[in-house]
Amino acid sequence: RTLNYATPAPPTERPSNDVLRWWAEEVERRTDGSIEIKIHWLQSLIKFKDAARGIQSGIADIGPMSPEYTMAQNPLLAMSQTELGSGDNYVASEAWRRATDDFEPIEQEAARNGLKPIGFYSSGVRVNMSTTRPYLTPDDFKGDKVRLTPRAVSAAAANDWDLTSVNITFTDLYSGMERGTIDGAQSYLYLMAPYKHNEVAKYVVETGIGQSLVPVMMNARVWGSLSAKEKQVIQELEPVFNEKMAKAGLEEAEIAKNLLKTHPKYTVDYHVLTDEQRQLWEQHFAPAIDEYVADMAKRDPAASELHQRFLSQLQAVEQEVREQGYPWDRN
Amino acid sequence: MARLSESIPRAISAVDRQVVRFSQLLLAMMVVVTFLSVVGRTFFSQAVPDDLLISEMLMVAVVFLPMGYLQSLGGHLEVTVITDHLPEKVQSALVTVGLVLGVVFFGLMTWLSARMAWESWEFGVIAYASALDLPEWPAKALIPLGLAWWCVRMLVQLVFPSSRPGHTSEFDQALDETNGY
Amino acid sequence: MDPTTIGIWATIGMITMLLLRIPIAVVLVATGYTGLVLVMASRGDGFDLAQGLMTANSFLGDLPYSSTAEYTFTTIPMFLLMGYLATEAGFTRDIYQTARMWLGRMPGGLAVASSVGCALFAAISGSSLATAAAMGRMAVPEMLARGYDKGLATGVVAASGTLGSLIPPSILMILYAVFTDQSIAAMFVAGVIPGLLSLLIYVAMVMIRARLNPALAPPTPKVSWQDKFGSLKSTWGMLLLIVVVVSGLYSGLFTPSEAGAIGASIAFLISLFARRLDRKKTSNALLETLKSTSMLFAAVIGAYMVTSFTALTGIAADLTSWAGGFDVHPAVVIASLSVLYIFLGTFMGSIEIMLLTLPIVIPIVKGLEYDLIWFGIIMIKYLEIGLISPPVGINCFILKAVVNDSVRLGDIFRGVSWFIVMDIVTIAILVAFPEIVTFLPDLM
Ligand code: NA
Ligand code: NA
Repeated sequence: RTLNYATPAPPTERPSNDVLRWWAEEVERRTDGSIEIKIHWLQSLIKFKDAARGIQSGIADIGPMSPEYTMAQNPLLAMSQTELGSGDNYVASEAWRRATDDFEPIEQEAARNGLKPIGFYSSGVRVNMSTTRPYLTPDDFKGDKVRLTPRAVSAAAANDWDLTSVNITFTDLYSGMERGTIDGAQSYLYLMAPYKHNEVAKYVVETGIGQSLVPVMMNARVWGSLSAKEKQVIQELEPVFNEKMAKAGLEEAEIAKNLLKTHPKYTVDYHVLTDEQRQLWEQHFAPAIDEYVADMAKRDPAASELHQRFLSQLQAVEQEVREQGYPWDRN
Repeated sequence: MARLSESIPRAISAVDRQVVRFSQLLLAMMVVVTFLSVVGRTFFSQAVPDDLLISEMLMVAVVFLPMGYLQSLGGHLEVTVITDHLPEKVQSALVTVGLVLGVVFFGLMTWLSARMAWESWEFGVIAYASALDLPEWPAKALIPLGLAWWCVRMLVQLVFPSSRPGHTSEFDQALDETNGY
Repeated sequence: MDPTTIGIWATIGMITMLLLRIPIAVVLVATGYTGLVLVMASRGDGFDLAQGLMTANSFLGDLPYSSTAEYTFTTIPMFLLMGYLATEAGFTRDIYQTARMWLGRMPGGLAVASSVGCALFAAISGSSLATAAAMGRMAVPEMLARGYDKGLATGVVAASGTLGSLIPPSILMILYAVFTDQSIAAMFVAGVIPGLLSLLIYVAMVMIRARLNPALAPPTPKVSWQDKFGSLKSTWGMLLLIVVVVSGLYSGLFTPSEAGAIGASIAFLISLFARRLDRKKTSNALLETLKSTSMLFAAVIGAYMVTSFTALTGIAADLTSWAGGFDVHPAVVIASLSVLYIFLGTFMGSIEIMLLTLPIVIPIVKGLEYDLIWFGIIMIKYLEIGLISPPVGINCFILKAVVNDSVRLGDIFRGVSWFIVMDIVTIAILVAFPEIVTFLPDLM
């Protein structure tokens, strides 16, 4: 039996794709070939923004989805999208695992949507990229035209940031930065290399805060139709998949960072925020986040509690990693 | 029957004119939104919030609302290279088959997209990344409206073949072509 | 039934229905829906119709919104509107008047002018569809009015419209660069010379054909130099429009996706300023834009459905591995890939073909150690042929949409057939001399 896995990623050789391929082979091996995973790359089966519905309806059997596109249907899962706390791939996904472990409402929500979560990974750290000057604090915007993430738009309004918020499509980002339609944009470190944004950005600031969590979902009916053994294989692989994905994400961030710093033609001026700078951004973001959580709590009251659980786990796991390193580095 | 075959298509065309006028207005808005946004961000440090989203939603309207009007003009794309050589009766039968299939499949799409619009309203879905918290349902509701209106037009053409737009035959075209000489 | 068999039967059914004058929008939705029901129903053991219907229904319900509410698509009506406004205001008539005075004695002069116009427009727009749409509106009526052959008049614009994706900026190039991990900038630079080469070959072909058979493109009477220079005065409107849009785009005032709306605004303002636009003409331009957009997207929605269904059948993947699977000389592999792309291009859209075949084709190309930028340009050239090849040639449909009843689809396909042959010549040249593609990006 072949299960279709739909991903927005291009089929390049990179650590996270290697993990996905490994997972697909491992499922096949451990089920003695009773399940075969066919990967459909780069939105060729379903568009990423329609992923949740595509999996729900069965066009794809499995695939990553972004909770942001379907917030009304999954207000709890939407809590996994952070602006506060560490954006480290491992910290975020491990914190989310602990926050949702035995948290009944989130399982009910997935079941209501006809989905069965079988793993998750994090986008990793956000970056501020720009052509004028590094955006180390909100004061650095100095009237620039900037492409902001949705909640940064509210933060900008609440704190009166000196900038013009410009909406352009992700596809136009490259030429927009090149030609000065925008002076800067918020993005993710892992996107910079594949989309060549280092060719047009002069300054990159690794903010260290905020990330997007990407749950991998399976169609609930397909899940229900699996044999006990097949279910067991997929469940056993979940923690391994999550950890490998976190590690791969960190490797990709490292590769991207190296590329940005040492590219023969397109090097950027690379900055990492200090703790004080990070706290300043977090303070500015706080009112926008409160509003966001309150909105989601209107749809499901459990959202507030989940948000608190996740935030405290983010701090706990970050502390742990600071003291003991990542699990694969521990003895 | 003879009177109905004239009055019904005429009544539908009257509604069509208003639908088209509304669509023209929305299309003009699409231009204005982008224009204001570009001028605003360049000279006044202020773009139209949710400009891309508004354009996307207007796009939906611009695509679906005129479909019925287009049907009345015989404007939907079809390949007539081979059928032009067939007798009039066969051609007319093929057009009927096309109308039946059209009503079936786009009728189904009307019903299913209406269900989606309803769901969107029920859940209070906010458009992705909307700064103004724009609801998604109005744009989604225009789809079944436009499609349903198209289906009504196809049904009328099915029931009253006299209301079908004339297809220019090869003979007429040949006559046209000699006009220039 | 296995998915490949369903895919083959669906393809046969689709082509049959198209030829029997069933509207294209209906054919695509009917094929995609039925195919999806069958594939989903026969996935497990036995035939589960309820399952097939459930998946296909859910997909069909989401489809109209997800396949139209996309910002990049708004460029199509916006560029169309720009073209219609410029036409209603008479600017296009003026510029063709001038072109006729200057190029009228040249064999096929107006067709040559249209081809060059498409190349200029291509540098503004990222899409072949937008180029064909806007230029079709401006150029074709003028050529028809001067007694040009219908096939030539529409064919030259449908084919030259494909330069939209070959001359940067280009949405297809961005997609390819992302997919294959190449630099977008290098990809853009690589497209310039092949784009100009295609243009040159088109122009040469048009001139030779017009020289051999003057009835195709009746020459105009001789014009004095004084009149020639005098006619330049009336071109200011179009020139201003082009200058504002191109300079605004390259200076970053607006993005390629916004260029259409800005172009339409500028066209409107210039016409208003020149007192060449009234309520009725503006309303006409809006109405024509609505008709063309609605017509086109009725088919696009169906194409999306067919694409998802085709991806599930794996038929494109099967064909690609078949084409690449021969253990023979690399040239034969490239030749068989050509056949494959030209075949897929007859009935599928460019982006869809690219998404479906790249995952299998790229490893083959890497294995042969070909330059990926070079292959990208060759592939885009293939996809551009698909845009004009029958029975589903979107650029030809656009031309049909734009000229309405005055030209039959069959005439347009007859007209582009000459250009398809020229495209094959261009590809042969690019394959024989890869440096034509690679030397500019290598300079970077
Ligand atoms: Na272009
Ligand atoms: Na084609």
